[in-house]
Amino acid sequence: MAKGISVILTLFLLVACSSKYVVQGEYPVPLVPSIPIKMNLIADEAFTDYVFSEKRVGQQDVLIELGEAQTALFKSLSDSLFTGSDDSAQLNIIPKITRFQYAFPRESQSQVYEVWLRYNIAIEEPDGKLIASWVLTGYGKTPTALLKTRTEAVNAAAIVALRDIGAQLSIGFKRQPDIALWLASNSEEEE
Amino acid sequence: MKTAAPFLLWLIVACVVSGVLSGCATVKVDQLRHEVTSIDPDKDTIVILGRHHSPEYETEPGLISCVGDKVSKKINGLNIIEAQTFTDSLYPWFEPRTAPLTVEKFQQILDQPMVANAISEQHIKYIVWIEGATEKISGSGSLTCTVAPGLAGCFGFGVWEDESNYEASIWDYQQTKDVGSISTDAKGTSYMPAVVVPVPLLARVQANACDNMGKQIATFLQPETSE
Repeated sequence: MAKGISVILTLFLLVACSSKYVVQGEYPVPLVPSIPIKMNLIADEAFTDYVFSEKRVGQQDVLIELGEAQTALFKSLSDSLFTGSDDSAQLNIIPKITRFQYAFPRESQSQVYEVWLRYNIAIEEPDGKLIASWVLTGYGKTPTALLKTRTEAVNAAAIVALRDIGAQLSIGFKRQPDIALWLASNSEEEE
Repeated sequence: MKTAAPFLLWLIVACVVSGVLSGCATVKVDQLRHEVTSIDPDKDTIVILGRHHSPEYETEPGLISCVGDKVSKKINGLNIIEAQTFTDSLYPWFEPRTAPLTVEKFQQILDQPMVANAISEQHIKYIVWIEGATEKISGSGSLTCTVAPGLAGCFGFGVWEDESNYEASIWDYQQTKDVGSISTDAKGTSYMPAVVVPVPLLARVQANACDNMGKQIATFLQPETSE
């Protein structure tokens, strides 16, 4: 009983001493021709449940939940950019977030909230053979005057950064040299 | 209760003074026309977009919607496509990183039928790009506020100068041409005297820039609207 109370108390103190932001948003379908290959999105728990956390001396800790929003982005992209996904998929796309940074106006002395994201996108064949490894960085900013709360501002900046990642992936997928080579030799697509 | 009444009276006076008086602002508008323009509000639409590609500044979304309001008031019945609706419908081609900075780049995007169709479906005749920001360029004076049990107030005098620099480039979608540009420079000094209650006398620099730019864009697109 006492142990249970202490766990609850600890959790309460952790929540009370941190600022938590949950990034949520929707993404438009990219206006690009779909690529006639089947692609599976492989997202592990570290990706789908990703939470950025930062301890800050003398200030509230920062927790930013990005997992759901980034999973939704990559799901939307893989559904719209390719012709399907199932057990017969020709490729797997495996995104990993390798860096998350943010800046609030007070720290950056600017008038904007900023979010930086960096992903490593691996494209593999079903047997695990690496076709391409691609680093993408996304950036989003939101002016302070636009939004009323810090939660809305952080969310908006993160969504702009995720849209930036989506834009680069959807426009640049076929232009990646390794991917272009694979597509040329494996798909029936006529350029 | 007796002590609260003079304070409330002073607060009301301060609000009225603040509302009636304002700081002073000067606005300069320049226009450069490359082509003859015309717009039929019954069948044409326009979209006004802010430039977001520079990390140095962010063209304020509030300014973009303000200019849109001014243009639609000046050209009766003109439908202005909301910026977010437009960028969503053209995703990923008008994101901060991918938006075309020149008409040549715009033409390259339009070479893709999907993109050209998406713009045509919205009956867009002109795309107006607005670039710039409003910034505080200097400030002086000091203002001190104190809060104590039963007592609160501010004393001092603050003065600051804001500057707005915006440039609108107008592209004709059907001809894929840059048809002209309009620049607006506004400067103004705001004051904040405080004797117990601060009385902001704001120069409304951005509002003045928006007002002038909106009217000038409307006149540019439909010259017969000029007074």
